[in-house]
Amino acid sequence: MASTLAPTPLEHPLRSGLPPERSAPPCALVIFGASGDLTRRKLMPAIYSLARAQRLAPSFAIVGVSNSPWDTERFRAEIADGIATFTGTAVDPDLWRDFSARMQYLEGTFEDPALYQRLGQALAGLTATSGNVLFYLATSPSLFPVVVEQLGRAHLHRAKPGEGEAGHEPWTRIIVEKPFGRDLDSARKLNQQLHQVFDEEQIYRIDHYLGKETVRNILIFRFANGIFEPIWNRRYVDHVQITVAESIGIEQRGRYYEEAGALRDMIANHLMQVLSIVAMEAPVRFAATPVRDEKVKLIRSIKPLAASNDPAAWARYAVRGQYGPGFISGKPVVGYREEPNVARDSTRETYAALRLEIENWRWAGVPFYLRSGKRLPKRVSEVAIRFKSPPYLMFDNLGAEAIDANVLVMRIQPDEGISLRFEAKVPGTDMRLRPVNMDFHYGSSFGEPQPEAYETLLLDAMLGDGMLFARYDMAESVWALTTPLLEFWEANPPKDFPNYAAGSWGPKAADEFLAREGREWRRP
Amino acid sequence: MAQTLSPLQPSAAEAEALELAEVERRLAAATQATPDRTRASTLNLICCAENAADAQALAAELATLARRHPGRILLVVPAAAARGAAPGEWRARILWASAGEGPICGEIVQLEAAGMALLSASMAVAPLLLGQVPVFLWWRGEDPIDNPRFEDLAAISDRILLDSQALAYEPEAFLRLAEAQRRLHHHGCVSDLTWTRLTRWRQMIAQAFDSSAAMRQLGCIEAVSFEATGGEPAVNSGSLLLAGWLASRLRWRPARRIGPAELELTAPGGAAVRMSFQAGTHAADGGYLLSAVNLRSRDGLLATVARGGDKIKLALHCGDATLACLTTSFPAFTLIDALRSELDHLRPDPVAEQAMTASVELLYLLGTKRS
Repeated sequence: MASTLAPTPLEHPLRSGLPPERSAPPCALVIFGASGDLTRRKLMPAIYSLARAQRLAPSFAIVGVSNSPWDTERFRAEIADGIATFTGTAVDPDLWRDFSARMQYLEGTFEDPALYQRLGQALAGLTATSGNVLFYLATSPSLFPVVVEQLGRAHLHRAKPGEGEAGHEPWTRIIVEKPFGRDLDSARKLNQQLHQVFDEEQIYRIDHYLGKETVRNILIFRFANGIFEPIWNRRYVDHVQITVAESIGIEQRGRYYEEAGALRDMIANHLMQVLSIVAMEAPVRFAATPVRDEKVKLIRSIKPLAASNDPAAWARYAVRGQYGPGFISGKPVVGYREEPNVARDSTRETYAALRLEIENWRWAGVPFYLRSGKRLPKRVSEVAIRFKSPPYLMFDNLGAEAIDANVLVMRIQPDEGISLRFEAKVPGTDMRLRPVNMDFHYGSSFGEPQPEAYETLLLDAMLGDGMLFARYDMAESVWALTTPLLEFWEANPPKDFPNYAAGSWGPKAADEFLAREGREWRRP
Repeated sequence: MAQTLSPLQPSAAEAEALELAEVERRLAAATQATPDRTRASTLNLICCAENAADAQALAAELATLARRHPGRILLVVPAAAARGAAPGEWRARILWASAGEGPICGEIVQLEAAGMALLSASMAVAPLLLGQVPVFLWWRGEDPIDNPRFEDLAAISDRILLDSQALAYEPEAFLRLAEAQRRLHHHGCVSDLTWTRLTRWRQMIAQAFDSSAAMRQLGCIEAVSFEATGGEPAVNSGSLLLAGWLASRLRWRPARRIGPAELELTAPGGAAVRMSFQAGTHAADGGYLLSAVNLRSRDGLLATVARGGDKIKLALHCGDATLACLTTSFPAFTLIDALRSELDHLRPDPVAEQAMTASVELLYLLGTKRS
């Protein structure tokens, strides 16, 4: 891989001290899969919100590429409709006039080299974008290698030298949507295909979970406050639970989900990313490379999951489940096997829980429990750090044997915030204890709405900040950890599916999983 | 930008007059009695009203700050001596400022006294300041220089907010602000709310030069003009502060006066930059004193930022070619909007201070006595 480190850009003298501090430089965004759901629901509403917040250059241009038989007018109309629907606000006609004037659409099949010739001509016609191009792969994952190869053949993977001014070399970057493979082999293969055309510095593997304000706040919480880091280790922490629960089922994604499952869909992406941020060492700087180095180091410190064929050995590390019929919010819902495009005898897991151990000085002996599932009682994502109980309970004569340990909960969604549970004396002449929560709610401390994750991440990519994107070694390390379990589960289909009712907190085995160690899952 | 006025409970007229020693206890009791209400404390804001009527109107406006800046507002009000009160004694009334949506609220503590006690209002205010959060003083209207009431309150404040636009529609206000900055630098930083009103203008002008090709043109600007709203005077605090900002950022030095509202400056390479201030025809509505800014480079790049109604438009041309065009909403910016925005900043803004210094230099060159 050739190095393409960007030169230090010239300082814009009029930008100094001016909010917003983070504004994208002039560039063109090329979306492959421009007629797809992701573009309509997430990408373009996020781009429009950035434009409305004046975080895009006036010359910012969008080129939509897809095989749908649309023209530019249809593309603009579809996007306008998507923006109105998914931002919840009416499109500002003046802003939209300028914004849409810089949108164009190219129809073609992704395998066709002529499409990329036309794309090259379209990009060459954009005179005020300083030669900067951001490609976005919003297609089916199977098309990622096709598009990347064709971009390379058309020489669109490198910015044209000389288009930028001295000190302002133009850049070309590419955003790749998850999943980054479906196991270790496929992840490595995808990375190789990407690296045959793009340098790693150009590649931004997006996991929208990391763009969530509260996930990013974990970094601030840990490293901008002096009081938590001293207790963030095996001396004080009993165990950690990371939960991403969804009350929805698989909706219309039956085909995808039959291939993916909870372990691939959630744990190998979102939860491992969150785990790495919660448990990593302090990076030397708050910058992409040091942060990503620490995240990878953390994932590589996780004890490999059992590699035997003994189901009992695996059962100490992992539990899987599949929902059957049940009730969500008081309404009956069907089981997974009755969902559209799902096999009637499917053995695909819709719930997965893992017990991980991190083998380093900070965390040795502290279990990290990760769980994620569909059709759980409510939608909630949180990290709960349960601290050790006091070493000596002098209150036992007060009937306080069961003092609850302190728990620090970082709520990612909904009701984003942080709470700390501790014991307090119940007012009165008697000495009675009761746990109380000290709560911080984002909504009540900051009146401003939080940006959508895609807004944050798209802006980061335009600014060349890769901190919140997965590096190739992160993707491969996660798959190296989880692939043995995936293979064991594939080779040993479950006999008890479905094993939890929709609307419950998962299979009984998941409770037993923690009960064996004298612990229990939190009920968020 | 304007928000629905949040309810104040109760009105000042209905609120019970308390001794100052009662205030904290009453606040704590009220908080306990209304567990569905979350009292949030992010700052202290001190301001003075001219009289009871002014205080009533001001409290209603200040209540709207609770949404973004819940905290404690200490409103100092001259009042007739309370019956039974000793001379110089203060009374307080507690008003609750609700954020409108959700349970968040802040409090307005209206402090009333008569006569000489007002000259040492800090004695009443200081014990009621919330700890560990910044103290802002918003000084309204009166000339702060050699003003004992101002200096008394400035001494207990971390940040002092003035408004050159309110001091007078005269650029001489900058000289007073600069003097206030000089005198008070050891207390806290002094900021001008007019600077906040210019943020959007600065954003749009900066955006015009974001592309690498356009940024290169910043070094060869040959003319810049500012069009004022509301006719004469052509030079007002808004256009002058924006001119000072450009001069300080692009390192233009004042060279000579060409006309009553026209200057020549010198760019770092020695090239001349002509700066002119023109009286516009638009009414001075929406809190803005500017209607357009034009920057022209020697290579023919013309950047225009112009306000029309509730929109602001950026156009970048080179000869006949339009390089970029952007129109965004630009709603009216009230004094409370400016205050709300300025309360975001806890530290001095060096860019603003440099702009202010440059503005004063430009003003000296223009001649300070202007009609």
